[in-house]
Amino acid sequence: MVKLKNRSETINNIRVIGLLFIVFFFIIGFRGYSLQVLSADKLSKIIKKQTERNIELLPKRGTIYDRNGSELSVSIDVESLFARPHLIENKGLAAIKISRILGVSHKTILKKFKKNKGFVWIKRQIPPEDASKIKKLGIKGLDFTDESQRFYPNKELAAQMLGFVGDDPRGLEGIEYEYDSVLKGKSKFLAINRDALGRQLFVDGANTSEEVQGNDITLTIDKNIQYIAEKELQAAISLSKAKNGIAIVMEPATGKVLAMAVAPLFNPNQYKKYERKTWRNRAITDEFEPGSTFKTFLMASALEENIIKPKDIFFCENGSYRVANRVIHDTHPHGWLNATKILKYSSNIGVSKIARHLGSELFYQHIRKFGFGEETGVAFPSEANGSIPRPYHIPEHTRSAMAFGQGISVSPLQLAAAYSSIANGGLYMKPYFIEKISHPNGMVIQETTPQVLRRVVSERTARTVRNMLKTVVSKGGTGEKAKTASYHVAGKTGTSQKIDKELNTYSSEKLIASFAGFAPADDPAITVLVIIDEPEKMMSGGAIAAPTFSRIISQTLNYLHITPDKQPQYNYEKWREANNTAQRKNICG
Amino acid sequence: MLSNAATSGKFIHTNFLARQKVKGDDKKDRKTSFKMITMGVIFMISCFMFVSTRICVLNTGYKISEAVKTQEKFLQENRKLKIERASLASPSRIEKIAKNKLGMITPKNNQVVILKW
Repeated sequence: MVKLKNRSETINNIRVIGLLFIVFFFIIGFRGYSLQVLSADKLSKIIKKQTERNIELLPKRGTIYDRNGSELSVSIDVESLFARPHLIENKGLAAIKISRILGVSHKTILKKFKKNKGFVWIKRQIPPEDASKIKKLGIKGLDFTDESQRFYPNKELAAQMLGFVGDDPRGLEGIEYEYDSVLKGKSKFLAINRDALGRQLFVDGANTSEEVQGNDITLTIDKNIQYIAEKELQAAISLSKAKNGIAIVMEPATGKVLAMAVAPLFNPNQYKKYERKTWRNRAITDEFEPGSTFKTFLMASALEENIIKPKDIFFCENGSYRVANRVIHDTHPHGWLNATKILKYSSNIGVSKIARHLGSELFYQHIRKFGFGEETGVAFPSEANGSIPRPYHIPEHTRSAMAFGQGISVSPLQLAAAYSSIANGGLYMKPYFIEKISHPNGMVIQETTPQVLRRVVSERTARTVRNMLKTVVSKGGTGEKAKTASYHVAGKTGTSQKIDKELNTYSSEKLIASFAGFAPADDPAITVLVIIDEPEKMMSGGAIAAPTFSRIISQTLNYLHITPDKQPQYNYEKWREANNTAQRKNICG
Repeated sequence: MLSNAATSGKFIHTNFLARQKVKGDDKKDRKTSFKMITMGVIFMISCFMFVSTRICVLNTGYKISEAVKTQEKFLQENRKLKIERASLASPSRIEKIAKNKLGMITPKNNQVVILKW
């Protein structure tokens, strides 16, 4: 009986417990429903605040490469120090300790510590050794975060072309400025989940470093050719005690800029230490009177219009020729000269007479076709247009002076591009230095291909002008010093007077010496322009710019493995079969 | 006595029926209890399994987090090495070493022989 009673009690107890469980589960279920559905929005906001931390990832700028894939501008990770002032216990002592390492006044740091803010930057982008010293101090409330800093591993190399970035990091000059939106990428906020102990948890898709990085840019610039151009330009400047200089190396067949040197150089890693004027890429932003280098285009125009032939003769008035109320002079007096010799000896009078035959309007139209008076469209900040006045706006003597490059202004890049069109057989190729833009994963986003803008002269005219320019560097020519031992070159000297701003007239002391040309003369692989601004010694294009051109040409062509067209070539098979050095010397003369 | 016996027999009969009934109920209850216990055990096991998988996911999360950190560290090291290589490959530095340390010179034109094949 008792047993039976116990059993039924047990069963009842089980039922009660079961019921309790059911009630309990109902309560849990209801609580779950209330948490998950009724208060979901409010609670998810609270939990997000407690466990998630949004960190702004500063975009890592893309890399700038030269045409061979060598890094010219890269981003490196450096640490930046920040403080949470409310967590710092002894602010005064901490400020003194930090100031000793960072070399900043402790008062400045203390001021930051006393700010009523949850987050204060102490110093951004600090050297790694300073960062490790501060970490060793173990001051509570101080922390580091990684930031990106721009670094130029080749220091001064192509500095004016590349430009530089500020602390933001935002491009401030050059390609860094022009292509800032391409290089900088996009800022992203990374949500980092933390557990109750504050440990960082892996969040799927949180590693967004590749997505925030900016795109890479590959230039047409060749690091080694750029170095050759800069080295020779620097040497010419110190030799002639010039104010500054420019050298451009271009590939005439494509319009690719292989080097663009501007001296004096500056180191973009420490750009603040240099004068502002050294930052500018004068090869694109500045314009100058081209002087006699411009005579080439008058000749090309006159030949194209069949106004003259290379052997047509002109009287050069023995060095003095009156046009309207002005007198044009030649450096050396000449009598009768043919068109080729007018170019060879660079006669101002000769070209003035050819210009009169051609007609100023026709000359104007031709020089505009050569790209003067308008931007080349290379996508660089503050590109100069140059100034080519319309003939009917200017007096007669100025129209004559235009024939020998006075009264007009051009940018160095325009001049180099125009010479390239003579070198490549008469086609005006759009100059460019951005080879491609690619995503950090290697996918090419944009690629530049050589672009023919127009034909400026016929192939025949271009060949004739090339032959005429060859005589300039021959014996007795103004550009004799431009010749090289291994390659035939062609080009033209230029010595133009600068305007004296005080006297408002042409200065006899301030000159621009230049040389523009290409090599090998019969099948040009490169066009080179050298400009030396205000040389104090060797004050002519033939004396200072021509030898600089020669050195750049021979080193660059050698580097590009262009077979010399001047030196004798010997049979490799015979040379290989020779048994000893003496035999080999015999084979090679 | 008989009536007693009968009563007793009845009682015995009734008791027997009751016992029979209890026996049947007991079996049923046992079955129910067994079911409930089994369900409870299954529930507990599922809970444990759920918790253990969550712990496993959490631990794997920590491991992935560590691995990502290590990967980033190596990538950073790789970037540093690339930058170092770029700095060391600077043309001006190479020319200085070639000329000053190795005693090399730029060949003159008469020192270059061009071979054709």
